[in-house]
Amino acid sequence: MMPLLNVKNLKIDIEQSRGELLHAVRDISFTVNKGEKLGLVGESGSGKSLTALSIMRLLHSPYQITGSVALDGTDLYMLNDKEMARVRAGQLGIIYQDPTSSLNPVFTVGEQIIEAIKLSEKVSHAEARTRAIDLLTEVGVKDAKTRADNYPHQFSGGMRQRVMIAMAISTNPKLLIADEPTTALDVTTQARVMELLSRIVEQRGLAVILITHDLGVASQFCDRLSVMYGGKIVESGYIKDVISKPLHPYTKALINSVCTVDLDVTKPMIAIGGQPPVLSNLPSGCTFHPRCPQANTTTCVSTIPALVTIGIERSAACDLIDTKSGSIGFSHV
Amino acid sequence: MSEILMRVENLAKHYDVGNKKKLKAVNDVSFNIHAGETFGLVGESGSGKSTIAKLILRLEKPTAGKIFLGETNLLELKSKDLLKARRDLQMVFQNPFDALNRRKRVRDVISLPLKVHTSLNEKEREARIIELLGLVGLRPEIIERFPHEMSGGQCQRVGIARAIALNPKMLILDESVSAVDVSIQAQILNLLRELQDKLHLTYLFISHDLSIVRYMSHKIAVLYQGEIAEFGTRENLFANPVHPYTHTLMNSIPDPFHEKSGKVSEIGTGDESIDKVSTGCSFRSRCAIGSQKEICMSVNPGLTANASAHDLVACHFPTTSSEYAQALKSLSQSGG
Repeated sequence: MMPLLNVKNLKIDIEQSRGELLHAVRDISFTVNKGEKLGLVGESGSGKSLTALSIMRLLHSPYQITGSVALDGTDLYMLNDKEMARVRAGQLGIIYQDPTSSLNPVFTVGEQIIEAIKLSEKVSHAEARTRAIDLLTEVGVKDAKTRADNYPHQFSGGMRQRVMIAMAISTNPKLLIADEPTTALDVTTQARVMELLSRIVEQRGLAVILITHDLGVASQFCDRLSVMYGGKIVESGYIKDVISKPLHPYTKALINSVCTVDLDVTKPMIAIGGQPPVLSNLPSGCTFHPRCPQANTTTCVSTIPALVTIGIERSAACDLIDTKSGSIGFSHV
Repeated sequence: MSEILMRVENLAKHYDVGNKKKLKAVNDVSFNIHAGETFGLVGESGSGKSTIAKLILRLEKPTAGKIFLGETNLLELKSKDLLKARRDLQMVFQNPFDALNRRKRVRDVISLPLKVHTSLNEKEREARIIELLGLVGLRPEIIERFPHEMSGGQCQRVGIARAIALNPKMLILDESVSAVDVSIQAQILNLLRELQDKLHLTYLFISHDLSIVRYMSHKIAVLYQGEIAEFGTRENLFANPVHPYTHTLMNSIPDPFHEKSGKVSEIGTGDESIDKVSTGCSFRSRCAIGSQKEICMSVNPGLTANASAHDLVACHFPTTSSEYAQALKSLSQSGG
């Protein structure tokens, strides 16, 4: 089966004023199938948001993009601008982190959803409005007929994010990209918005890329997970496999450093030492080696580990993993 | 038990919002913080947790109430004595970049409180700054850096170094790890606990994240719309939470290792909570139990002792988490 989205050897470089290149995303490949929910997890600077923007083809100079992004078999980077605009309007939906700055403050939310609908297909204004109101009802906005005529500032943060979701699904996209959709929201609002998103995605059979720094949010929503670090995917797999048996030392460390309600309060937390990598000064070899408790001074420092398949839909980029025996763990420990 | 370091009594802050309406950001909040312990305040945005921090630091003037640090009522202090009191009471802010002046080097940032409050000369200050950087796990070279030359975690460590520069008795930590990266969060939490032991610090730890508040705090107050909904020791509160809002918060935690016990969206959207209810329990519009009950609509439940939980709770119908999950379930089955 052909995947819905096929990202191959994607590289994103940022050109600096002095002509040097920062390697923000370094040769990543992944696929998303129809109806599948993929989580891209990483810290700030890991390249996860740039990956999302490059799928939407929203990155221009100083960003330099190589590789291919194919949606339903069509390479988006081979399309002209007009064709791409049509794909964006009809087949891709995106939800950004901050609903306040992604809604236009001087138009009512109804007008903004109607605009999105009319850009993707030829419908009358009245019909677009009816659909906009239905969508607002679907995302849980009460009294949608009146609320459609309200401006963004008349909605709370959680409600604004619901409006963003309504707008993103208004054109019946094939793929929905949600970039930290709940990071700006309260915990309880976050839980409600994620529940809503789950329901809508399920009902419509949408494929989703969820970008988040929060392993908890990702694991409750996604089918598969790709963990990013320093512009590379370091581990991928089904969510349960990754959470219960992480392979890459970074994934392990990340899972260990999650604060949960049953953590032993008498012990210090298992923290990841050091600092996240800085793009202008990426470490040699494995990007994680300066912070890795298992790193050795030879391979880890000198060679960039490739993402190796280790099982069904399972891969990790660490030279210390014993792939031959098929056993999970490190050959030298 | 150690002595009480801070006593907050009937603290209130009401804002005029026009039309003779008042927004009760903080309403009749009382608690004691014992020396050497961490007191956690947890709640959503708008719950009043940051307002309490500002009132304690006297960055805002309360409508009513008293705040004692030791035997001194902070609210009665005149400017000179207030300056002295602030030596004992320091704050670490949420966003480490915004909290540091981006035109100043680390040296200048940390030396300012030393210049204002101590008689150390330049050489002594330099030595003290290096000592402080060591305490928060930073190398001495960092003294020359500007904020933009440091990572978020390093900036937050500088913020902590500045806060402990004057050997305060108490630190107010307002969402101090919310803006740092996940991998750094644990480092900072560990550092704060180490410093507490080493320097015998007392913490007021404010966060929206229940798991982090649990990890850090000996006692916890759950705030909802300016009032304490539930209060207890860490052990009691987590072993036996009884307020519906506490259950809601616990159900909302995105935990990668456990399935959720109940859905959150089964109760009201919570949007109506923006128009604050004037009578009765402020949580009732989101509550699976009290939304239709007469007493919840008419009487504001005060904070009272809950015998079974050894806690304080402001609820007419305290329930266990399994009872509450059951109530949520029957509510969703009846289509409500």
